[in-house]
Amino acid sequence: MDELTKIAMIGTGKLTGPLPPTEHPVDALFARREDGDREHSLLLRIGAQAVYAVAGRKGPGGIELPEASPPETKALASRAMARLLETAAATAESRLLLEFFGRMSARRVVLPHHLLPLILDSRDDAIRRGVISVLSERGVWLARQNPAWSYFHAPSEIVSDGADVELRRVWDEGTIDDRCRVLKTVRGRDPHQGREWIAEALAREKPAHRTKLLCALETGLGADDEPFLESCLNDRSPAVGRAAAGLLCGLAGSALAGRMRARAGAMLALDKAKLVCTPPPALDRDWERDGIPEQPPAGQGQRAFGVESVLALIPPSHWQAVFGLTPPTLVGAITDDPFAAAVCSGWTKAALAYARHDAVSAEWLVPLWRHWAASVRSATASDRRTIIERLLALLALMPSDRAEEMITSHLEPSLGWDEVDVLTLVPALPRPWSAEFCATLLETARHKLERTADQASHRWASVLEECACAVPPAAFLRVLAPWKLAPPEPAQTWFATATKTEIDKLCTVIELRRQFLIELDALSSS
Amino acid sequence: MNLTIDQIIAMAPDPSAAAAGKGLMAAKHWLDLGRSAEAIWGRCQGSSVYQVKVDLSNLGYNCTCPSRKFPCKHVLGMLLFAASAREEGMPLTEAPAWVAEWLQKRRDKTTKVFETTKEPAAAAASDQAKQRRAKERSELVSDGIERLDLWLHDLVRVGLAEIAVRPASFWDQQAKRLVDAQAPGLASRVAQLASASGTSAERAQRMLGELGRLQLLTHAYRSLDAIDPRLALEVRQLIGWNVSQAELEHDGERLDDTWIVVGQWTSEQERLSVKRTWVVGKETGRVALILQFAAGSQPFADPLVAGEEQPGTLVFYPGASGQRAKFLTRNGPPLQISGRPPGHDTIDGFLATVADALARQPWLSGFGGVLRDVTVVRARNSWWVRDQAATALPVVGQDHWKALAVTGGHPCDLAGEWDGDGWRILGAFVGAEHWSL
Repeated sequence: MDELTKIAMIGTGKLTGPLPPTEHPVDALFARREDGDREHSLLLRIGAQAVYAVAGRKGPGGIELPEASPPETKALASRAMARLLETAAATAESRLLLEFFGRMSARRVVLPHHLLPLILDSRDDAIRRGVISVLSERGVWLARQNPAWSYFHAPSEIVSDGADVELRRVWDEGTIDDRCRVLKTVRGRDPHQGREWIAEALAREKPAHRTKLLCALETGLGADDEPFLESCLNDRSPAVGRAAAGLLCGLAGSALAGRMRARAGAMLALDKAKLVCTPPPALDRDWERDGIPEQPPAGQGQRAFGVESVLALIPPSHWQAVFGLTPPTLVGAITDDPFAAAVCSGWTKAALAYARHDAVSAEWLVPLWRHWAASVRSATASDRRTIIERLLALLALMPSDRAEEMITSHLEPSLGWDEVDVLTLVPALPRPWSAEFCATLLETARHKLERTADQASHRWASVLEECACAVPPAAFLRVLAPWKLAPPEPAQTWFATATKTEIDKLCTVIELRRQFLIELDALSSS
Repeated sequence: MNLTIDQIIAMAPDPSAAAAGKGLMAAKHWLDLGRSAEAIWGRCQGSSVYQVKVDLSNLGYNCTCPSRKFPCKHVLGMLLFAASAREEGMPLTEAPAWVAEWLQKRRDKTTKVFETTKEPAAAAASDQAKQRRAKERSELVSDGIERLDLWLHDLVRVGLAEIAVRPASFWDQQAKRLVDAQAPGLASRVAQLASASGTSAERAQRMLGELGRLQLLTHAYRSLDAIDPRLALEVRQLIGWNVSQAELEHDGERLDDTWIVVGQWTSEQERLSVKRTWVVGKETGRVALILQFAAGSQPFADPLVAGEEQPGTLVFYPGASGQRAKFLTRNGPPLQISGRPPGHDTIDGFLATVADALARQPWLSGFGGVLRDVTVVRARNSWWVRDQAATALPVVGQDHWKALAVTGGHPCDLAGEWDGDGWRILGAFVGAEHWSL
């Protein structure tokens, strides 16, 4: 702080005598001036010094020039695409942006530079994962400089062929999701090394993380993992034990799989083309160690719970081999049994768990779906919710054509299905829809919306809007064709307005997607 | 129309208006869209049908909707539609009556302004009354300055350490006295001291500097007859005397050029939005500041869009600095920017022009321009612009990731404003493109 500033801070009232000389060039400016008023003179000098300071300001040197971003190796999205990407980023639906990313990635097109901060700042995990495939050299360079974006480059390096040292660093220091990714990568290369890493670290982890890490062992799962997984059955967290049990059951030759099959074999028997389920009167203590809790959840008996839990841990393909019957026959054969619901629930859980990796178990998805669909009408409200959840889960694992076939078959009102139930299932269908299915659904919807403007019509419009990203490009023009909407009925004007809004939103998204494809084609052909 | 999507988005008063405007880009929202050499127009279906029109000669716009946002989502939506290169959707045709009438009204209004200004004091009463009013105001201002000086002297007599913790009302009260004394320029400077006050040494130093400059200003006003007449004109403007359109046209320096709008930013001052637009003459290299004021959410009268070139005549406000200007005439519609803008090859060169400008007018607080071949750098936990000679300027603010993204750490031409402490990045010229930042 210079002398004049000190005086001004303390106050000239406490100063005796004249202002001291400052040896600043401004002294010369005021040398000729009568110095009668100290305050006036002080302020003039300070003002002049402030102007001098700004006028004489020099930029500092010594700022190092960091390495500039490398040249791009892929095509940048055009300005028109950038505009569409920006619009997609502004919508709440991340699927739209992810679709654009997917299409860009397939054509080796990357994000334009000016959109990088906007996209990298996204809080949506799916977008954060998806952006890696459309990140330009500039994007990777930029992300390295902002600590908030550090996780964008780490996983990409890991997923590709990252060095072991880097993998170990992320394993030791990364977030739980990054560590799971690393574990899967390591297991993919060397299952033994991956098992050693997790065995060494598991005791230090909290239960939720132990469960997540254990699930990552699914990659490269083999017989060598059995002793380690068996030891995890004794974990003090039931969730960890259940995760280990699930993996052990996936190993056909494991002791636990054998124990489970023996327990299940003692319960299910074929009697004159009918399956009979006879669970033990009480659950054995050993069952708990094998991942089956002793206490059933509220609303379920202990025996039914035992049946469901044991069957859920056995690949459904096992029963085809045991009884020599097809899945539809087996599902039909249990229907009349008192424990039919528990058996089908167990089979459903098992089908959902094993269908991805076991083609024979996947054959159970459709018959089980049909079984649950047939039981919707007679179910109580709470059972209905559970059944719908199962239908949704089964649908999501089916091949597209079969899943669409399931829905199409229930669009017919004569089957007695509540429209709301069918429409609840539509969003779970694998995406994109086939052009044929889309045409059928649109035809049904248009027919409905043309006739009535009520709550059900609004539901149709709302589901279509929700599924705007599932519409295949071949059906874009079919969606964009003018919609005839029924005039509002006196008490239903809200639904009529809301229906129109939903259809407008649907058309906006489809138009956005259509424009994006046009621009992408234009860029690719240029 | 030469506007890009980004430039239109930059015109939006807030992000929600921009998003709503984007929602109206689809043709289905529009009826009777059309364009002529002078304007574009359309009717938009909202709660009722709104008539939307844009004057292409100066981007003036009008919409019959009741929105209090300017431009409203309908104007933005139509501009966005027009900019998305779908000319077939906007047929070239004769303007309908509702557009032609509006355009004619705008032309009449402009002519009226100039006609009025060409007849000095036509609307005023007698010269005698005018002189009497001027004398009365002069006395009021002199009294106000007398009291301001006493107040300033009291501050330094008591000591600024005592003042630093005073509430904003302490400064507001003095500012109001200066408004009453018809010295709004001084009032605004005093009101801004509230934001400069604080207990840290750096803030105290800054506030003290501002108080000193204020004292220099009142001192200069008392010595108007003794200082350079051009500086005297500017001192009067700084105190609060407005320059009338007639005075501006009569005394202001006129300069023809193609003016590149290199950057702009808006600040809020006492319920007033102030837009600072920096333009650079393509041929002359002259830098000018165009100030526009708008109350509340009202629109700025003269939409200027960063990244455009406007051929025309600027008239500079009379004074020593030759910094502030306004468009007197525009020769045709604005054009997309082409070529590199004139600017400074080194930061030292730019700072030398700052020193020159301060020597001519010591109360200048912002210095705009273009720094050529500079790099945006993040180092030492701060942001910098660095020239080829390794000299750097600190950058105002903390979020410049878009600037880094579009420049990629490569040298480019950067438009901005230097306030003596930091460089406010306003735009980047990368290749043939301009980015507003």
